[in-house]
Amino acid sequence: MFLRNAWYVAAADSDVAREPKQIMILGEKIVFYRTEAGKPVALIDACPHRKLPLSKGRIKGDTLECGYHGLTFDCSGNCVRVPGQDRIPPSANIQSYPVESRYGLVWIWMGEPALADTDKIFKVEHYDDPAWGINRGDALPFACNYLYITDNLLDPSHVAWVHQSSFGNSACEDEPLTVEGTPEGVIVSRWMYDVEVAPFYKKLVPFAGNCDRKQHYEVRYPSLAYIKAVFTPAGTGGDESKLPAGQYFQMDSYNFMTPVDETTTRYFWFQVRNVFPGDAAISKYMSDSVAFAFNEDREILIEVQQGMTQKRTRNIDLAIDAGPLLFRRRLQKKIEAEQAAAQPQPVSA
Amino acid sequence: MAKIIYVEHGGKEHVVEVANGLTVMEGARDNGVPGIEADCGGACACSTCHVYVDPAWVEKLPKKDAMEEDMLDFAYEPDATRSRLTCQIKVLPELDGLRVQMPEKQI
Repeated sequence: MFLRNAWYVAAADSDVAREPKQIMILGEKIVFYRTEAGKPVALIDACPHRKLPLSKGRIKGDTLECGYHGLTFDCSGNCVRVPGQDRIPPSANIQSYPVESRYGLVWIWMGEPALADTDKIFKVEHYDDPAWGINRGDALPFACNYLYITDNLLDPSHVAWVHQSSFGNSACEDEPLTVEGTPEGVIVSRWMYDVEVAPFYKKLVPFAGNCDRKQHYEVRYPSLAYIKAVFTPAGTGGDESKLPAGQYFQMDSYNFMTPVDETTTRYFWFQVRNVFPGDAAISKYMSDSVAFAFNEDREILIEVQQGMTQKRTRNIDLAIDAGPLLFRRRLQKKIEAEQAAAQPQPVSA
Repeated sequence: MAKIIYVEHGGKEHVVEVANGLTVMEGARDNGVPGIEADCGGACACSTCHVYVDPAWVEKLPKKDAMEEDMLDFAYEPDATRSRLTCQIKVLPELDGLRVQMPEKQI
């Protein structure tokens, strides 16, 4: 079950080129290519005639030609040529998807095209801020349902056990969490006061000694996460405090999950940070460390998918699951409302 | 203090004095009343402390909040009017005599 009226990340900008390429999103095969001017195009990846994927065809200018009988489509999916006849059947036009490049990513609207509004694409603060650095890495394929990843990204406690060499330490085990539902999603957060800096961050924080640490884990519908980490000298933290300029570290981690199908997810990510803005070595250190940690999550979530699909004991949900389950319930309601609205209305007698 | 009557699915009654400020779930847990599992410990995250409130008491309890409503959708055979999560009901003197019935199972 997927929310359709939403922007998802289809690919990194660098993965969409002139050559047509198939990408599966929400169980649909979609062909991507770029126009001569560089604009990304997304069409249903099946010729209306014998259903050959158009990704097996050829680009001609800004149009895409089927590799079987030469039916040709423009960027809007309109069929512009049917070799061997003058008439173009109306049903030869195919679906196109609204797409938009932003933050080095190609975004796609999977729902009703008339509702696509590029102002609704997830907002990333400090993306082009010269005072902030950025690091990024390759999209990761996860062999699990996307909601196991949203569970993970609304669960600040897991770092204490899954990421002991990087994001977590024992300070993250028992500090209570605050859960907040917002119109856009769910936020699970906490401050941990006067604790040791976790291993990954030791190289990055601009101070010595213990810290106050904020974990802000937020997932917005459909499956777009904003994970904010703040480390500030012990005694200077708290939501009411003004953090000491130049002395605190902040990393905003963006984690955009796109369901390939019900049991596979593509995980796009990058981080921006308020320290070492132009430092390529630091960016590499961060990307390598984050990729290592996300692979730790991946190993676990693949097993979780298997275990939860074939449960051998009854389901148990714990206090730490309040945020993840709130997100699941609200998303489920949005999906149900969307599907109900899409059903043809019964004709009353 | 209030006397809470917990009725197991099979009909067995447990009459327990529960201190003010505890929840109806905690009253069952602390007195070994079977049938209320409370996996999440009272965080409104699991729906395993579900009961059917006696019809005479439904209107006398504070209303469900949105979180409890959401969570009850996941309970075993919820009833639109009588189902409640006992971790969300705080014991007060005016609840003396509250009678709740356990479901056949919690999940």
